[in-house]
Amino acid sequence: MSTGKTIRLGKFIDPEDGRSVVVAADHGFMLGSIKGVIDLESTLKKVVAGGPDAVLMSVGQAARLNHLFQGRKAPALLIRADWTNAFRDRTYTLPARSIQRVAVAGAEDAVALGASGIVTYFFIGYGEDEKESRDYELMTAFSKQCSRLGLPFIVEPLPMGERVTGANYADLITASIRMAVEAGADAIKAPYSGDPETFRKAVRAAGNVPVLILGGAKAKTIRDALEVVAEALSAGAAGVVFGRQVVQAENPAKFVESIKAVVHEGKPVREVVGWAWKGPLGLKVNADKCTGCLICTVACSFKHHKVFTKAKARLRIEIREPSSFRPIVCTHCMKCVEACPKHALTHNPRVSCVQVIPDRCDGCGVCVEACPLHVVGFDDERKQPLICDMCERLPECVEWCQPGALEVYERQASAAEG
Amino acid sequence: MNVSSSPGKALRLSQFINPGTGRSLIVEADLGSMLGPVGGFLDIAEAVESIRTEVDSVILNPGQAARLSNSFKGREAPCLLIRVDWTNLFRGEGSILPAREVRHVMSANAYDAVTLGASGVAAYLFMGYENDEDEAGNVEALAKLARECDRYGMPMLVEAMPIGNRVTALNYVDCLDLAMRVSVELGADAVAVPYPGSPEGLRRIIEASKVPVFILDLKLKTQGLLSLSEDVLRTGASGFIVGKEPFEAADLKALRSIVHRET
Repeated sequence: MSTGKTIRLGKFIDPEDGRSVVVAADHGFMLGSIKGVIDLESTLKKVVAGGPDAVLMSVGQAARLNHLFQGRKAPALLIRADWTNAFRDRTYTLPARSIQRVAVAGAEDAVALGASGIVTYFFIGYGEDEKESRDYELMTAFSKQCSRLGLPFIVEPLPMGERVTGANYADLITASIRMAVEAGADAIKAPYSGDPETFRKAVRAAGNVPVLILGGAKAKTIRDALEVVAEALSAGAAGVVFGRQVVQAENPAKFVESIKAVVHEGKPVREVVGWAWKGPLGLKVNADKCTGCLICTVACSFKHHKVFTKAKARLRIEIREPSSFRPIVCTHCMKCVEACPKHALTHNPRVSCVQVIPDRCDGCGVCVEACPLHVVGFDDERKQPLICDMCERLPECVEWCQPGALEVYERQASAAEG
Repeated sequence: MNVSSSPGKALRLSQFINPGTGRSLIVEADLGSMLGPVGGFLDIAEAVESIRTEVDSVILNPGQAARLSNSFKGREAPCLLIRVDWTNLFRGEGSILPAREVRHVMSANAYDAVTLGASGVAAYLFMGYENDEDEAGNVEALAKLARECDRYGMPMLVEAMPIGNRVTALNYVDCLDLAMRVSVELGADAVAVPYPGSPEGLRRIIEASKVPVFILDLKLKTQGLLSLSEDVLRTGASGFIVGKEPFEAADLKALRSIVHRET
């Protein structure tokens, strides 16, 4: 690889771990002012605060918002060098009738903007073979421009068009990645095939060219998104290029930090999700989703006492009718803290939970009586109350609740005090 | 390259957007190439001469710009914007030769505009073509123009318009947003859009654009125009492009005083 390519690639693919977290912010070009990019500058300020390795932008916006990319600590700038209508699906205001793709910038324009690379699509699966050949031709033209200038060339191969089916999707990803590599791509931005087996094959087909997975439409939860990232990394991915996932996130900076923790630090998703919350936490109950399976209660007792019994759980399930259940969890109402004659209970504002100070507790049980929700239990062996401690910010009950009846949420500081 | 990073763009843009008011009144005297002589522009030399003191800028085709260069001499003169494309779109049902399908081609480039001493180029971006290929061709041509404009420090004004049967009253603002946004992302320094019909629609466009937004083709003869144009400016528009509809010198004077807050 040329010196220019090596140096510029090193600006967004960490030379230490060979991995990268890129945020795509070129949606306006293809889809108009969608959620998250209406005021692109204010969104990008939040994104940049999270410290991604690079941000992908159109030429117009890259010029306008160049100030966000200044300084060595700032993310690298990648330029979208083509345009397509392919993402304007049937629900879009002006749906694409036939897929179009054109070049809108060259490697020279990207260099003039101080960019560290260009990104272009490469579609296979078109109904018309002519379009595929034109796409390949365009890709090689870009590749040559990039080689001349020492600019990394990132290709986004996508199965697209009438001939793409569920059955050939994963194979088309692998094939299109390989075609891009053969044409001279220095990095790949590809969809995750959906399972580690097929994706491992795609990564192998790319050889030593890093493969970053793209995020696509927004996942339901941050956790869902991160699980996919972790799985792809285990199958050999070198990182991610996330767009809507990030720019439409409630807190883009925090989300970028979470992805970085998974990609660069190799932290388990479970830990990252807990760590991503900075403020005091609470448990949110979605009673309509509770199936009464009681797994939360045994998970709780196992976590704290290494036994599976709902008797030692620090939450309970209320059975209202034969098929209506409601998890009852500690709301940190402080009634127990106030009632304790020995001042053995204290509120931990960082996590927002009640903690027992064992030395002070004489096992009188007043707190158990004081709890209006009857979720304070009593450990007969240790002669101490059982009060939810939020499991060091990673509640086991939430972890095990499959239906999603329990969730962690970030409490406002004032609510935690109250 | 945008205005803040290109001295050439900043300087030329200040010639057609008044740096004091941040606004501009632009007359398009370029429709002869698309419609033949229309409105008050039968004798274009006379027409341009008659409006030159009222407006900030005049859009002309390269051929007429070369002929009428005397009207643009001196610092009191309006600045020259060059029409760099051509379309048959405006030849509607009643016209002499109605367009059967919308065509758009480039007729000049940024280099030509530099040669002519212009302060900017103006080009159309249509969304809603019957054939997606035409839309892609329009985007491609404007992207190429934008890269040339970057090279020469030439401001690029894109007239972003939803067109055709696929655009309805229901999706009009969405289509307009797409046209505006594609223009900005590909590098327009200013956009011009038709009035979207409501202050809310206009606000949406202006908030997302982040570049100066001009309103196209307000019908100067319409009653209540002046109060509408005041509203439009208050919403954040940077001025107007007029000329497609016939107007009198007095209309232009009134509009000018509103644009530059001379009342």
